[in-house]
Amino acid sequence: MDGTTSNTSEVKAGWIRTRLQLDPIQKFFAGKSVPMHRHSFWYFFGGLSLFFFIVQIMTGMLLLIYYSPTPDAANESVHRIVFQVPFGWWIRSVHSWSAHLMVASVLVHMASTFFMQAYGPPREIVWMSGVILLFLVLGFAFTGYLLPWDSTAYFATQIGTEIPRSIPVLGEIIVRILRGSEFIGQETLRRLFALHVVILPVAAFFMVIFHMLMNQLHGTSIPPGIQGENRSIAFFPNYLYRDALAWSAGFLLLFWLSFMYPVNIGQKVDIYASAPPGIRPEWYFLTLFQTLRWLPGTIMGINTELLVNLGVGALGIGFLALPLIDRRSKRNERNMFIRVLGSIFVCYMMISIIVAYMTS
Amino acid sequence: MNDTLTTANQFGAGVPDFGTRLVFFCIGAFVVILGMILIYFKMDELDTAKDKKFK
Amino acid sequence: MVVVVTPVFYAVIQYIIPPIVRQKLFSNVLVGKQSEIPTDSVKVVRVDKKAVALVHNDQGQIKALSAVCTHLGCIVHFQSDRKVFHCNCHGSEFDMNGNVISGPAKLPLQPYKVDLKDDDILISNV
Repeated sequence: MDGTTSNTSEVKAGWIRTRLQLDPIQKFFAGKSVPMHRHSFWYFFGGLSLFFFIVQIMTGMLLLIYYSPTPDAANESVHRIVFQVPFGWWIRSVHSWSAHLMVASVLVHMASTFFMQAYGPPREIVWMSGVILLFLVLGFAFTGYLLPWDSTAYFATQIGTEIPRSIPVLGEIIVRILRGSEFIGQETLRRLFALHVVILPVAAFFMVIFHMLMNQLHGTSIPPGIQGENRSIAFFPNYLYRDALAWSAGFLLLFWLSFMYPVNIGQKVDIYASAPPGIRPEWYFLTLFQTLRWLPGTIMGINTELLVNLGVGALGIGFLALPLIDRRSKRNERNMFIRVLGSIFVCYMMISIIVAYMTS
Repeated sequence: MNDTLTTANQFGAGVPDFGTRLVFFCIGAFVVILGMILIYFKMDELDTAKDKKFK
Repeated sequence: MVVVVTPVFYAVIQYIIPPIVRQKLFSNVLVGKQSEIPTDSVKVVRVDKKAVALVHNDQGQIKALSAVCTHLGCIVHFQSDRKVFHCNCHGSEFDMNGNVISGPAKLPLQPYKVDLKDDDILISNV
């Protein structure tokens, strides 16, 4: 009896293996190993980012069934999801909390890759695709924020889309492209919805596949100074089991947050009323928000928003071009200057977020 | 958390009260933790088998 | 290849950039009555999809100011105890004439032309 059962299972497995051509794929993954050292813990954050992205896609598709992207019906449709659709409140909470966790894990993943100098040759393209993915994730967060069409969403989008206006020549055009017209309205909602639901997901999907493929091809790097610890485990299936544990822990955290802290929905925005007191963006945009609050309106006669725009642009280019800038990484040496700069930036981010929360 | 959020009018629709949500969470967490334990044992079995292979 | 891609690319870019909708000019639009606004107070009305603050100052003058903060476009609100317009977004403040008192805003609140006919308040942006 047992022999017959296991033969049937093997026959079924063999049928699938042949038709999906799984053997070459398994051979490819079996060849890869993951180095195990005292900083290996940070490797899990890449997988966690992927996990939360998958959660976002699945819950996003479910929310799409009921959501209506017009100013008249958007807020009402979200109210319906939360208060009338069975478990709609939970699906929406999962989507909202998973967004926060995805941004957090992407930032941690990026920071850990930065400090471990894992962008050195031949992994420059892996790093650059990762930076683009960070921009896409922040784009998801920004575009999705307007969709409930409540006061917080409306005014956050008002401010976020107004900031680029100070850029010479292109500023006005950028604002019009983002808003679909001069003011926030139906065109804006339609555009940001299209970006959030189609354009960004397609771009992110291909970029994620590319990023993971490059990572598989080049393997996981070992941070400078740790080459002596030469233990490694097979990616398939040993490391994948560890990844599954990390995903389960992430899922548990998401479960806790979505059940115990369900997300509220504000009333439909009155676009003629003043912005609500204490309004501020989400935590991942607070550094920019607090920087604008700290700086005066003009610096040496130059508009502060323009300076901030240029600063953010320079930072983005700097991150992208980091593997080309950091020559020491090419020789697999620690670069203390880059690390100190990174540490200062991380500290500034944390301080600005804390101050923004305490003072708004 | 805002009180206006809790308006359960039938099972599943509307946000249930704290107690119901805690029960949901505990059931889900139990299943996930059970899964994690199974994964851990399988992982340990694989690691041990690998170590034995190279001894 | 370049000959085909360039015009297609140009058409797509033109498609993405929305057409400019010129601001509608209006004149002598009735927005309220003087008797409805006590001295030293403000009433916010909607005119042509914009928020306009009608100010009745302590000198008895009626002024109409755009209630859109000149910093990053949030709607300001009037704090009657302090007699200032305050923007909740980044803390800009304007006096009852629309001039910047503090905060990151650099320009005053945009004024409208006001005409008074008996008790009627008429505004124009011409």
